[in-house]
Amino acid sequence: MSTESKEILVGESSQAKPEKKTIVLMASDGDEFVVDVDDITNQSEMIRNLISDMGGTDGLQVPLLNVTAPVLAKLLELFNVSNKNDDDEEVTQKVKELMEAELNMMIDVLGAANYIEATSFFDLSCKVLADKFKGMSVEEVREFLNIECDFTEEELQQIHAENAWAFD
Amino acid sequence: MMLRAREQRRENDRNKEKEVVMQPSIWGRLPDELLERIIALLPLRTILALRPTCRRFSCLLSSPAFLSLLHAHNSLAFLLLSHPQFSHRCLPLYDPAADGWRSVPLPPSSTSGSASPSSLLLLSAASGLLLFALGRSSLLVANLLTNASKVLPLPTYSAAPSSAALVSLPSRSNSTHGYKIFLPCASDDDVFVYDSASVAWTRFPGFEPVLGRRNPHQGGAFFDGSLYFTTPEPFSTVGFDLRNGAWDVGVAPPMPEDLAFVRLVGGCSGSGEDHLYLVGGVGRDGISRSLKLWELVGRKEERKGRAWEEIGRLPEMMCRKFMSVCYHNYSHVNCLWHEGLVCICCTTWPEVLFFKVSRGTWHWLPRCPMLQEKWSCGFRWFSFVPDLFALV
Repeated sequence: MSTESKEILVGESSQAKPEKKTIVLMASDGDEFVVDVDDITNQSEMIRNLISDMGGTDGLQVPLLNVTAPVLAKLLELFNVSNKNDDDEEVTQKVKELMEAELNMMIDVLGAANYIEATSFFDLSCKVLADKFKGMSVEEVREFLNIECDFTEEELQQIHAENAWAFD
Repeated sequence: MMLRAREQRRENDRNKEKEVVMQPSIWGRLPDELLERIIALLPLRTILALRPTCRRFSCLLSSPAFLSLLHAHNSLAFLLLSHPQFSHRCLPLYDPAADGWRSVPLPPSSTSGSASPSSLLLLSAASGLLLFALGRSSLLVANLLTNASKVLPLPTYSAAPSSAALVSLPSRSNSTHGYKIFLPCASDDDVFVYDSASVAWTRFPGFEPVLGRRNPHQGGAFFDGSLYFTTPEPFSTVGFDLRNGAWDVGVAPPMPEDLAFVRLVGGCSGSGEDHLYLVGGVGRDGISRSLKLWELVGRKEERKGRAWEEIGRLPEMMCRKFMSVCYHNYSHVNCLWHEGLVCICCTTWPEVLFFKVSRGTWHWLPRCPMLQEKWSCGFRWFSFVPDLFALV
């Protein structure tokens, strides 16, 4: 992991208009990310509340103790996609790609989104992950989540008898 | 060619398996809290199907924290068929999503104190709750999804109830549903209303034109906080306010002319708005030549502005079939609302005629394959929309 500090400007427009306000997000490893205030408050309820509590954005540095630099970079990249598109289609696609390619990263991004209260992005990502479960059998889900079946054979039969009417 | 395609598919399946095998340890990293958030986004049908995964999954649906994450939308809705010759242990259920029939086990019917199970007769259904007559002296309210049920002793000891209306009432403070039961009393002119919030029966005066012997098959259509009934000829609409027990004869505009029979249906649209529909056989001298559907339009506050607006007419060929299956004896006809459909049923015929309100189209639901050929009457239908938040 790089220890050099990086600058990522979220949203292309922010470069063209330098008067736009920015704040600094600090990842757990000390890396700093400069982000556009509008772009980040558009996504994160926690930062929106923080700015209103502090009464402004001047020289504001927000330490995110639970989020590592690569995860924060990925999250900001996805926010960027989300801010640039009016509908959710593009960002849903990106989340899907990330889930298939780097599930580990996706789970961390999800945790980070939950931590900074990026509600709509979090809900969208959860939906993408939930879709993964649709159509899976009980055995597949157990294998997938590394869960052991802790029911006895009789209990399984009882559960089946109890709600077989509700599905095929 | 076929063989190669199959080989290819097998190869793909094998790759898929590998992928699944490689990922579990990573998915296992997902914190419980996040996993529950994700599961809560699945359709109820899928959550139920995943109950056998492990104890934790199985208990989710009884965890208040998890229930609060669930979205209000519901993916389950069925039609239940009751018939006197079905066993008291299960009923056939039609699943429109799968266009198939299944059997739903009924709650245990043995009352405390008696060892032998009492007879169980389905009387009414509303928002996931089913109301049964249990033997001669009790009612049973059951939520089949949560396996919860409650026995209510009848407020008077007379004959076993043959009709009662169950009405679901959303709670003001949270997402749960309470209910009320409207119970006409056969022996005298009173009605009883049970309120699940106060856990008590209240007695109100009856209304002879509606509840009298000349006017059978009155379940009551729920609309705008009241149950709506029709009187015998000359037909008119009467409302019973469930909050104060008042009967209101001026609650709806006069009915269209030349009706041979009328039924009211209370329905709720997808956006949560209440509607009241009128199903009427049109024709003179008590013989229906056609069948039409009206909707009550206009605001409750402006009674004069209210009117019955025609929204559908049964095509002639279907109408001929319907009139012949009920032998022009309209006392066999009963109507119900089910998820955007006005269902017109006949106790003497195992098929259901229904009108899709959004599209304005008419259809028949075919006969249930679980029925035996010789069973010819006594068919009663109920709309069953399982709901975790319907409290017994």
